[in-house]
Amino acid sequence: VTDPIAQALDQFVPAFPSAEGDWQAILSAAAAPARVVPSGTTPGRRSLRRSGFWRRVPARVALVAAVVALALVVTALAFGWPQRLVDFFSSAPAPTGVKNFIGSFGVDAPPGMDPRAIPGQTRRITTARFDARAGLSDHPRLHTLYIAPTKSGGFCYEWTRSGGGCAPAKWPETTARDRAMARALGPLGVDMLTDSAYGGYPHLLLGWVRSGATRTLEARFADGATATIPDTSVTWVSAPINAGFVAYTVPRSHWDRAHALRSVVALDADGRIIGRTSYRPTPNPDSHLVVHTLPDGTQALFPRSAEAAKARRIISFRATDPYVAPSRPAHRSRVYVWLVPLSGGGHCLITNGAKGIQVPSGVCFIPRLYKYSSVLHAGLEPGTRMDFFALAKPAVATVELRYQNGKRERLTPIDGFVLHEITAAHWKPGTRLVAAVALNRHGKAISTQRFQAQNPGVYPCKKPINRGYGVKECP
Amino acid sequence: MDVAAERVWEVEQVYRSRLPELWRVAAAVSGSRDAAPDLVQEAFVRAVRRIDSFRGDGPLEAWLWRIVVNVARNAHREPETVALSRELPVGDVSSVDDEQAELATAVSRLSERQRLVVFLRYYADLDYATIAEVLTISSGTVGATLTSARTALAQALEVKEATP
Repeated sequence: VTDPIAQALDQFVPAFPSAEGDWQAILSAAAAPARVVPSGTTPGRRSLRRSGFWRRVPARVALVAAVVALALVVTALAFGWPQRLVDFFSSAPAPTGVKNFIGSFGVDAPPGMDPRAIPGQTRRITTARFDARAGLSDHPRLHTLYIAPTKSGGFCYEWTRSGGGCAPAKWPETTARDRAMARALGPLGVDMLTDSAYGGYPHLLLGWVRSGATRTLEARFADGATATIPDTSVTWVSAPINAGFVAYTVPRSHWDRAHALRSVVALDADGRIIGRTSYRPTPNPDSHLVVHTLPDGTQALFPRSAEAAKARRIISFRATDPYVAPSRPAHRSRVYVWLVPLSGGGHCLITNGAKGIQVPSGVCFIPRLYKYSSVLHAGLEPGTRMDFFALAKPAVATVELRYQNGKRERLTPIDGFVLHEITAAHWKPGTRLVAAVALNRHGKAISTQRFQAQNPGVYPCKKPINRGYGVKECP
Repeated sequence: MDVAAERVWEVEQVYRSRLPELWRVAAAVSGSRDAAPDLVQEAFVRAVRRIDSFRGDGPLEAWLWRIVVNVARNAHREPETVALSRELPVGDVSSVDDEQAELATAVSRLSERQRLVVFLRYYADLDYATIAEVLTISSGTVGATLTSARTALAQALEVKEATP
């Protein structure tokens, strides 16, 4: 029900469509000595005179000096010395591509998940050399850090060729669990990157720590050792970001189980822990993947026990990619599935997929874990075409695909795997896949997996819709 | 970081997250949309400068709204320093049509407390408890004041007000 009074009031003093304040000016004005108010003047008059004062040129010069001085004081208070501080607003603007990438975080974000980044204010902050995907690139590379503020006082950041994320102004505390998490994490938002080539233990820390009470970041290891994360690994960024960005390579001597990194803690000036991010090593050695080379030269990540030389192709066909690029005609690409045995029993499966992933990782069936997997695990691999894949237990004799328009297709698993091209006839709304049904040898349905046919951005199309920030999406 | 520095940080968060609403309330209270940004700026300078006087016995955001309202009220009382409409002390008068003029007249006939409650409720979307903190009155008084204000505005706009 519309409230007519609210409507009238809304038109009476319309909302400000956007508001850009100047927090630095507030800090500098607050830091300046208060002026003596002449007798007979009111507080209101004094305040408005000061507002006008900001607009005058000589005052601006004074303000610049005050801002610089205050920034130094605030920096010293907030971060302690010596540390690297980058002034956000003095940093170079990011290229359009990066701004678009940051802006795309909010495109089609589910309710409450839009970080509300301000992509136009994205800045190039610094560069650092680290090995983000050590097992694959096998050498450190130069990465650039870009940061954008968000409308809610948080920020979004991105290390090129590596990753990033967004942080709210404060951790959400809507539930008891959120509150507990917020207390545990404190001012920290650190990802511990693991790499199967290094035993699956953390080899790189990427993330952020908020300005505030934090004085030291400390890495703690399984063998009881500790190491202070050096200042050179943290780039502090001034307001409106007010956070330090961490890129810390864990010493190589801690890339094994006995010495592995277990947690990162934020300590205040008194050495008290005010935030913690922990790493729980997985007990399953088979989950530690290494690069194997298949008979055709394809490189892929499998457990150490994979016998790549014994791999065999179980499925191979040509699929149609009608919309590879506007300027290129449709072409047919080869799709295949490799089965790679494991020396201790079980096997792994891998497909090159519709996206043409260059170094894919496989799906492995390990006998002792097999009982935990579901009868049918199916999915769609969208890209320039659409592939359906399914992992099926031996009880599954047939997988039936059911479409919105009532059509059905029946597929037979090969070595527990199904790979099938969803042709363009089933891409338009009203014709799409809605369910994959596992049938036993008697034709009885024993498992059903449903698909959301209405979701945009899943199926290919001829003319994607521009959703802004460089995001083009099919309906 | 000491307590004062931590509070300045919290002030900054309120400033950054609520700036459009702060400007809107300042515009409504002062009667000048153009002056609103400067008034809010001035209010926050005062807040940062006086951060030690915030005792923490109420929400910080309510304390900040109180300062903004006071600065805007003082500006409204000094017409020689801000171009205000003496006839219509709230809203910009340049583009008002008849209905808007009626509303402006109705708003101008509200008591100051009624106006402030209406502005804080509709333009800042504050709940009764926070409005009570801002205006240092009870939540019950906020509710009663808002009801009487709505009734007066409804009569002026010839809107049939539903009874709760």
